[in-house]
Amino acid sequence: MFIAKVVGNVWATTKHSSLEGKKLMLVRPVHEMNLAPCGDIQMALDVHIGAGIGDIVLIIDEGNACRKILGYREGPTRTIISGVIDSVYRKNRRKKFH
Amino acid sequence: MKAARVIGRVVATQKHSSVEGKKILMLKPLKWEEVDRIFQENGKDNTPPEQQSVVALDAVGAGAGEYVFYVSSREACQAFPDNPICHNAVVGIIDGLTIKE
Repeated sequence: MFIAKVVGNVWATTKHSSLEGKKLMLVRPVHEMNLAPCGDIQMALDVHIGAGIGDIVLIIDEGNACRKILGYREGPTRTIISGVIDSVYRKNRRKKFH
Repeated sequence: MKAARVIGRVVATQKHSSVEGKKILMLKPLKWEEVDRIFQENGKDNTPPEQQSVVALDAVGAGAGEYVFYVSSREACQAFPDNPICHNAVVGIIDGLTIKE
């Protein structure tokens, strides 16, 4: 699991049946305190959360957890947005995101 | 899921039986920012390859030159009902994208 910022979205007509009706969001891993980019953009599914561009979100990058969230027994899904982060505490400092 | 461009096909006569009848594609992995730039400029991909090309099985019927996204590792084989042995699977064709940072 890691913290990322939603930076965009993708649309695709032709896709695997397990991705039908799911939002495809682009997320960039960020540092939790100063929000500096920490890696390359990845694509993540968004099913229940409804995250928008600019939101700081929690990403799960693991297949079994992702399938459990989606209720699939099998499916080529791996990265999913599992929450919108309100704030982070670290070293007695609190970072609020909204 | 990562972005890539289809640059060719792989033909293999002798292969594992689970891969029989599946299309094998050569992919050039791209950063999402590069795909966004290419789509905005309606241009061709002339970025120098940053890493080795990737071989993937095709689950959606992608053709040469198309921009696609693919899954890696264990989830790749689950793109197919018979779970063939593979490490990468193409699961969608990119129609468009927006990036606002």
